[in-house]
Amino acid sequence: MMFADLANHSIFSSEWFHDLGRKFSWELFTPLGRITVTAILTLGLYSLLYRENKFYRLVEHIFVGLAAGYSVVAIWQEVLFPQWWEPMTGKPPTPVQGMMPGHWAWGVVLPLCIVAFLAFSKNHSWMARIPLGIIVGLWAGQQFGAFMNTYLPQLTSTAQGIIPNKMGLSSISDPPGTISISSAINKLILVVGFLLVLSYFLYSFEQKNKLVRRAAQGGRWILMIGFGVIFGTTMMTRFVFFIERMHFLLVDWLRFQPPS
Amino acid sequence: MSWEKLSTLDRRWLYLCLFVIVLWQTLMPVGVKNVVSPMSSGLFDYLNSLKENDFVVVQSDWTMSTQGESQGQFQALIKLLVRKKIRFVVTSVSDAACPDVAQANIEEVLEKEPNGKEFQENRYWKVAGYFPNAENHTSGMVNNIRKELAPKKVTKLPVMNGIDDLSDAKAVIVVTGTASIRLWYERMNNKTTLGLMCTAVMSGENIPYWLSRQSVGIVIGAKGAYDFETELHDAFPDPKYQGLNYSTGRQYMSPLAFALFFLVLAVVVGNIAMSQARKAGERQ
Amino acid sequence: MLNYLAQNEPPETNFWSIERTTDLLYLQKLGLWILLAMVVAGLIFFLLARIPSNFRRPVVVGITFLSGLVYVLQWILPKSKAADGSTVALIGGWNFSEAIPVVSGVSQILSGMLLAMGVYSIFRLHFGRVFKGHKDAFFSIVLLVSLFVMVVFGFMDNAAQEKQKDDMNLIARVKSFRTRAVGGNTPEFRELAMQSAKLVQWKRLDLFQRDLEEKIRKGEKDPSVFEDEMRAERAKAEQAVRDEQARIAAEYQQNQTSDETLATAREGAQIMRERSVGAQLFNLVFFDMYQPLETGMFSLIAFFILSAAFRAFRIRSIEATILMATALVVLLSFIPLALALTSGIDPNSFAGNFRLDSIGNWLLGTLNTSAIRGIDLGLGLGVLAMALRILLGLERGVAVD
Repeated sequence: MMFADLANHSIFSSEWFHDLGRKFSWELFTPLGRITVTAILTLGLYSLLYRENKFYRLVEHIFVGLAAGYSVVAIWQEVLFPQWWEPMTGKPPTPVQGMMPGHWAWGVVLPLCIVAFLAFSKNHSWMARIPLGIIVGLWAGQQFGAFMNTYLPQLTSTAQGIIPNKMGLSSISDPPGTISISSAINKLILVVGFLLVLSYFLYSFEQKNKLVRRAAQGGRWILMIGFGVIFGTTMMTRFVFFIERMHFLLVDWLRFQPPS
Repeated sequence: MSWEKLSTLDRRWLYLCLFVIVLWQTLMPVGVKNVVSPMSSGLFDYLNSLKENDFVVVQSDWTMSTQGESQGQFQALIKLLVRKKIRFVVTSVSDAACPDVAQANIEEVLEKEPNGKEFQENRYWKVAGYFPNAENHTSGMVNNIRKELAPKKVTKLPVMNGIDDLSDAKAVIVVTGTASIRLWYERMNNKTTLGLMCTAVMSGENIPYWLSRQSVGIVIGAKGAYDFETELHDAFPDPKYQGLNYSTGRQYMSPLAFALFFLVLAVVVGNIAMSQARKAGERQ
Repeated sequence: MLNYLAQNEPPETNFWSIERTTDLLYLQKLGLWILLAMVVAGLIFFLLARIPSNFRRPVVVGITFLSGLVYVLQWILPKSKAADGSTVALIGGWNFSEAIPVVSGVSQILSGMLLAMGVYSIFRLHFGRVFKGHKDAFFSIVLLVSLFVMVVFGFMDNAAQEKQKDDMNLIARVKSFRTRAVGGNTPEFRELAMQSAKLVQWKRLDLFQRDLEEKIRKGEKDPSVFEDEMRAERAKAEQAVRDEQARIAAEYQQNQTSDETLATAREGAQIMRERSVGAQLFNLVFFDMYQPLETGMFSLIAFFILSAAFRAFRIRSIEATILMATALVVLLSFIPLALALTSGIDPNSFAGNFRLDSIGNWLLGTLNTSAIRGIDLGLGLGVLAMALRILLGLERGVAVD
C-alpha cells in the first residue's frame, strides 16, 4: 500500500509534544463518522424532551467539560500568548522578520493575575478585589464617553423631523432629507410614545397628578408593544436554531435531498 | 376530546407536532417569492456601491450556537464582498471560537465562488482573531486601528495597505448574535459607515439606530439572510453565479413559517380551551 | 514607559525593551529583568496583604478610581490630530492616547484571568466529587475527561498551526533569495518540497476516491469499475510524485527554485496542517462535538417557549392583548408566506400602508422604537449612576463591603 510509509509517523510518537504539530496521518475520521458523532450527541440532547434521562446527562457533562477545556485553550492562545507572553519575551529574529525585543515590564502582570486567584482563599480574599477593581474601574471610566455617544444622537434623532417640509404623503422618489406630512406624523407618534414611556418610569415614584397617571398608563401599553416585539423575535430565533439542527439531522446525516 | 382535556394536554404532544411540522417542511418546502425589507436592502445597496479594492472591517461575533441565522447572513455577505473584490479584515470580540468559525465559512464560500481562487488570503482578506475585551477593542479600533490590530500581525499584510485610520475603511459590518454592536454605536464618532447583521432577537433594540441613521442597514435573522440572498440573485444575473446565490436563508424559511403558524395556532387554541373549560366549570 | 510598552515593533532596544536572541541566552538578561519585575510586583502585593484591615478599602477604591481615570481623561482631554491622521489626546507634549492600548492589554489579560478562575472553580467542584465518591461521580469523570481532552487537542492543533507558520516563513525566505538571483535553496526546503510533492498527490487521490464513491452511490457508475479506476489513478499519482521529486532534486542541484515547487511546498504545508493528528482531533471535539451541542442547547428553548405559550399565554387584560397582537404582527411580517398575502398591493399607493410588511416595519420603527428608547435611556442613566458610584467607591461588592 502506498500510504505505508506514513506508518513511521505514529500517533504515539515519543517526540516532543510540540512536534506533534508536524506528525500527520491521513484521515483519522471519515466525514460520515464525524457527522454521526454529532448526530448521536444531538439526539441525546433532544431525548430530554421526552423525559430526564441518563443519556441526556452524559451529553450535558461532555458539553460542560468541552466548554471549560476550550476556554483554557482560548485564554492562552488568544489572550495570554499574544497580549502578554510575546510582548514580554519578544521574538528572536527570523529570516523574514526582524527581532522583536522583549518588554520585561509586562512581568508585573503575573503577580496581579495570581492575586485574582486569592478569591478562593479564606484570609486574603479581599486581595482579589484589586484586579477586579481594575477591570470594573476601566469599565466605569468608559461609560461617560459612551453615554454621550449613544444617547445624545438618539435624543436628537428622536426630536428631529417633526416639522414637515413637503406637503403630501411620502414616496420612494423623495430626495433624502425630505420630511413629508406622513413621516412627520410618524415622528410625532414616536416622540409622544417616548415621552409616555418616560412618564411610566416616573410612575415608579408615586404620582398623584391624574394626567401623569394617564400618561403612565399609555406608556405601559407602549412598553407592551416593545415586549411583544421582543417576544416575537425571540421565538423566531429559537425556532431557526431548531430548524437548523433538523436540517443537519435530515440532510447532512440521513442524506435526504429536499427539492431546492 | 373535551376542552378541559385539551387545556391540560401533555406538552410532549406539542413537541411531537413541532417535530413533525419541521420534518415535513424541511423535506417538502413550499417556496414563496420574497419581499425584501428596506432595512436589508439598505446594507446591500451600500456595499454594492463600493468599488473594487475598497476596504471594510467585518466583526464576526457568531459561533455555531447562532449559526441558523448568522451563517446564512455571513456567507451571503462574504459572497458579495468576494464578487465585488472588496478587501476585508475579520475581527471578533464575543467568543474565542468566532475566528475559527469565520475562517471556515470564508473558505467554504471561496471554494464555490467563480473568482474564489483569485481572492487570496492576506491579499484580499484576513481573519485577525479574537479580542477578549470588547469595550477596549472597539475604542482601540476607533482611536488607532493599526496599533489595535498590530498584535495579530495583520498590519503588514497587503490587505491593510493604505489603511491608517478607521476612516479609511468604507464600513464596519457587525455580524452578531450578541450585543457587541452597541459599542460601535457608542464609539464610532462618525468615522465610517456601520452595518449590522443580527439575530431576530436583536432586531427590536437595533432598529432605532437604523432610523437615526447610525447604521446604514440591518439584516435581521433568517429572513434577512433570505433578503440578502434574493438581492444577490437580482444583482448578479450572470449564469456563472447560478445556484450560488441561495443557501440556508431560503432553505430555513419554509419550515420557519410553518413552525410559527403552529405557534400562533397553539396560543389561539390554548386560549379557547381555557375559556371553554372555564365556562364548563361555571355551568356545573 | 507606557509609550515603550505600547510599541509593538520598536526600531531599537532601550531600557524598557531588551534584545531577544535566538538561543536560550536571552534568559541571562531579558529573563532576569522579567523575573525582577515579577518579584518586585509580588513583593508589593505581599506587603499589601499585610496592611491593617482598615487600609484595605482605601487601597481598592484608590486603584479602581485610578483605572477609571484613564478613560475619563481620554474622554475629557482636548483632542488634536496626530501626524498619522489619527485623533489623539495630549497632555503637554505627551500623547496620552498611546496609553490606551497598554491599558486595554492589561484589562484583556485580567478578563482572561477571570475566565480562567471560572474554569478553575468547575474543576475544583468536579474533582472534589470524584474523590468524595459522590453519586454523580461518573458524570464528573466524564466532564473532567472532556476538559482534559479538549485542552490537549487544542494545544496540539495550535502546535500544528505554528509549524505551518514556520514552513511558510521558510518558503518566503527561499522565494526572496531566488529573486535576488543568489540562489537560496536549502536542505530544509528541499525536504519540505519533496514531502509536499507526495502529500499533494495523496490528497488529490483521496478526493478522487471520494468522488468516485459518491458517483457509485448515486448509481452514475458501476461498482465493478472502482478497482480498475483507482489502480489507474494511483499509478498516475505515483508517477506524478516521481516526476515532481526528480524535478525538485534537479533544482536543488542547480540551486534554483521554480514557481511550481514553491506552489507545491505551500500547498504541502497547508495539507500537513489540516491532516495533522492534532488538527483532526481538535476538529472532532470542537466542530463536531462542542459547537453542535451549543446550538442544540439553544434550540431546546424553542420547545419550552412553545409549551409555555400554549399553557400560560392568556388574554386577560389590555396589556396581554397588546403584547400578543404585536407579537403576532411581527411574526407574520417576517414570514414571506404571510407577506405574499398582501404583496399584490402597490407599496406606493395609500393602500400600500396596509401591506403586512408596512405595518410590521411601522410598528418596529415607531411605537417599538419609543418603547426601546425609553427603556434604553432609563438603563443608560442607571449605568451612568453605577459607574459614578464605582469610581467613587460607593458601590457595594466592588470596594470592601
